[in-house]
Amino acid sequence: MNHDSKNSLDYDALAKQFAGSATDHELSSIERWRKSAHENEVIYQQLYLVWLDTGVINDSTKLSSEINLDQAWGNLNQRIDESEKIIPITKQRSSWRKYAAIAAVIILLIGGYFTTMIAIGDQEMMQLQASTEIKSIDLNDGTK
Amino acid sequence: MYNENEIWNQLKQKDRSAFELLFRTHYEPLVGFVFKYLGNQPEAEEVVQDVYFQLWKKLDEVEIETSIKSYLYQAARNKSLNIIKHRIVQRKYEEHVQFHDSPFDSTNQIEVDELQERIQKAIDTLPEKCREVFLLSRFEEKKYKEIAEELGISIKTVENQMGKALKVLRGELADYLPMMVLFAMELIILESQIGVNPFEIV
Repeated sequence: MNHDSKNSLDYDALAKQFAGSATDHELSSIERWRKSAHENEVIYQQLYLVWLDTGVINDSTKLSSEINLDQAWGNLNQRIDESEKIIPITKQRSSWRKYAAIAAVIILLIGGYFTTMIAIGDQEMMQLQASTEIKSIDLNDGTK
Repeated sequence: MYNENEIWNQLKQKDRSAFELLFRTHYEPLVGFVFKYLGNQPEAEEVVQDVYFQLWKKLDEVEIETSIKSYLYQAARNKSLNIIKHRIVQRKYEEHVQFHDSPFDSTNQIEVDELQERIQKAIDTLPEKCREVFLLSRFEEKKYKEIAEELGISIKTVENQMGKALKVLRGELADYLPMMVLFAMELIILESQIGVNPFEIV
């Protein structure tokens, strides 16, 4: 694309790309132009949009295979059914979560209680050891 | 077919059989319509089913301005454009830039019927040769080489005519895109400042 951003717009090159007739070299040139300025990208998209919209007035459509209307309706129907089932499942899950949360709090409280008790027990043990030491000092004093 | 008001009232009451009638009436032409944008049938079917699915889910919120059919086509076009936008932005920019103010986003309000009418008029304004080349490329999906051979002209002429068609169509359709109007104005200002036509090919 032999132009730089605002000053010119190479409609020929862009149309060629949209029509699928551009060479690799031309494609990479358009790529560079698009990336070189934000406005270029906007212009590119505008033109591509114009290109796309002009395609829809064509009456004939060449679909790749025949449409199976019953199957399509079946799929949609199933999807709707499934989406409407989600509500009770969510409720169930949320109440299950509530119980799980309560259980977790209880476990934490029990755990916390025992941890505290063990800590208190350790402190008592230390005090007992400390007092034993003092006693032995007293005894030493007594022998003097 | 169905009575528009009647079916809408039934739909509002979540009548699944009315919904099925609506589905069966428009599904195929809608798939054909989306296919023209996306070029992929399974994807087109998915888009149309999505449109119906969302209509069903949002029946309380949806407001029909002209007709349910128009609503369906408009929603299908918006969805298709959104997919295309993601395709072109993601592929080209990967994770670098998230493209927010895309022209693909600013077209939501256009009625498809009106759009088609305007496109037809815009195509009619093309000079004869230009229109002939454009239609062969656009509707018969012919490559430039094939068009050149068929019309007995050079590939370069095909390129020029196609470029010209795109330029004219952009001008003719400019006001259906707010972004396009904005840019057209900027370019006019630019032209008056630097004394060149920004659309001129160098």
